Amino acid sequence: MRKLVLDIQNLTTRFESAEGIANALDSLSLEIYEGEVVGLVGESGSGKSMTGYSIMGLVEHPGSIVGGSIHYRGQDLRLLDPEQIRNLRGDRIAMIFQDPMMSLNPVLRVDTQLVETLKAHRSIQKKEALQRAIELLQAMGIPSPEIRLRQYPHELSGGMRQRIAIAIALLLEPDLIIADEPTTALDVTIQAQIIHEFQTLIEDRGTSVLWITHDLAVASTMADRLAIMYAGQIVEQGPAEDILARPMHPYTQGLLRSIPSRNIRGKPLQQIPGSAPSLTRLPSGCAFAPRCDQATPLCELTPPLKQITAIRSARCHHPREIDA
Amino acid sequence: MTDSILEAVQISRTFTAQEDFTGKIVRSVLRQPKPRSLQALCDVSLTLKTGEVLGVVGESGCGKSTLGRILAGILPASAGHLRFCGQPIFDMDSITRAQTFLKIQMIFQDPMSSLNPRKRVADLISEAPTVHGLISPHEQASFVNDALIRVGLDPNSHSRFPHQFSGGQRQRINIARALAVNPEILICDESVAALDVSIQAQILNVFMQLKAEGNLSFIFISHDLGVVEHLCDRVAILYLGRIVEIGTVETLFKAPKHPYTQALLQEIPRIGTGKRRFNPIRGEIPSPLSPPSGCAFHPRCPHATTQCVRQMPGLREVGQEHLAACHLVHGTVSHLPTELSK
Repeated sequence: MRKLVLDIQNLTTRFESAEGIANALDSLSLEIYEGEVVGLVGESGSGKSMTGYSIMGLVEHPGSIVGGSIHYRGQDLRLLDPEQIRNLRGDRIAMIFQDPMMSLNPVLRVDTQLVETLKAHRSIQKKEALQRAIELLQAMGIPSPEIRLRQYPHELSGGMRQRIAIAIALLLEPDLIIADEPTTALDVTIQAQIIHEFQTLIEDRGTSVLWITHDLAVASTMADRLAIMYAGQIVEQGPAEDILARPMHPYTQGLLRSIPSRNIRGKPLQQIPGSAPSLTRLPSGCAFAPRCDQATPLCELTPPLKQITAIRSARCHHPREIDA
Repeated sequence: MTDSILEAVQISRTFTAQEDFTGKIVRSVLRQPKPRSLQALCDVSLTLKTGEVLGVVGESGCGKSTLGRILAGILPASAGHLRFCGQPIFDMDSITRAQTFLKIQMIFQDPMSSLNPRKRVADLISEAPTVHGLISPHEQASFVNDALIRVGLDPNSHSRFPHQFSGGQRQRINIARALAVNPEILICDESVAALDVSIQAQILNVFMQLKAEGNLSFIFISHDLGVVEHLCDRVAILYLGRIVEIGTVETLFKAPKHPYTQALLQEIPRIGTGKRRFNPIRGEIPSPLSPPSGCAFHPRCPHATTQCVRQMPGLREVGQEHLAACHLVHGTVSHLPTELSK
């Protein structure tokens, strides 16, 4: 039996503003097991990044976690004091952002940042720390790492910066990495290189990953399991291949049909009508119902999360398996 | 066979850092070298046939947006010619040239920053045709009404401001505005890149519907090969300011000749391949400030020979309507694997 690394239950993160109350996350439940890559897929505003921030304890005013629990290896992260959270963050749980400059300090040399990270969590000699840094940069596909270490972030290309941000995240060999769209801003060839090196490193170490992305295709090449988000909720969850081959939630079905693919070249794409609702003015019942072509009067009631098989669940009154 | 509507002949574009008067003095006193120039585009020739969608694909810095801007007349070319329906555009007097470029409209990536936030939709759409005398002021209301319906927007939203629309709707406004002056060519520069997948599908459908109406030709600039394959008839692959391969979508996606195109196609994540490992090409895109010798792709190419280091390959015919710039591809005989492994 595989061990549970992260166990999120009914997590609700709320933002209060003049426009009203918005549940950026609405009773979200997600488990990540050891050595597993979970792809969290959603469109802008669906709450996928907020999931990452909530786990890392990075939700800032006017937002706050108002309900639910986040257990890391049995420890409730919401009950830890800031000191304990800091020790865990960066060491056992690390995060990579879309913009590498979110994790890099622009006025410090690359070597300072790598060594600092190591020394903050481990009692280690500087020389040894540098050696570890060089090895890791090499594994991330950075040519002549000794030279790169002496440079500042602005002297590096976007791809190089992201490699270094990933190297910092991997430096302390965390159990869990939360990767928030780390390859979205990169070109195709650089994206392929970084995914390749990242995959090699996490497989060697058995690291668990929450891979947050808007790109179903990227998620499908990375993830063991997929969770699809819409309006702050996970609407469908299950093994990646299953979901892509036989999506159950109408939103997932719509998403998959919106993606141009070889066999429908030149034909009109089936589109999801309308656009995502504002979180402060969510329709009552199922949030997707106004855009759903399979909606019935029952959808005016909030759909429960249905466990359809042992490994698949969907938040829909009428889940149907459809061949994509 | 369709005729060509727009022809670019050996278009080049160089950017040099602008120096002011004091800068020049400081440089001559300090005996610094002249500012380096950057060759963004080099000898790019392509033909847009009437009614077709020509895709232009490349990674950041390859010059695809510069090409789009030159073709739309927003940016002057450093060298080369443009012909619209056989007429050389750069030789025209300024009035004729302005009228010609009115036939070529552009749609940008960011739907918000290309709309004036203080103008109402009706004004955004009717301003250009009114100024150019295509419609009279009393026709405006019905004109805007028709324009909004054509791109799938509610005609009653004509008095709203851009911020009151969603991203997809704003891009529809941009399309309506571009169509308002009856263009013959639309240049779409990453026009769906900033949109969510479900919204992207809506906008692609608008483009396909316009294509089906048959009065427009498109240059579709994108980094997204999936979108290009879906929409385009032909595609040109750009690398460091040069076309490395051009051909119909069918042949180029099935049997790419240039190693760069092969690498690009292998490395796009696709649904249906399942969890997989990538086998990426090495290295990063070189800086256009110091391009490599010979073939610009040779430092990253897995098949590079000494000839590739020394000599720049020209575009040569490798099949019907299919050109590639690679020493290793001679006509239909190729030293490279042509079929992509699944």
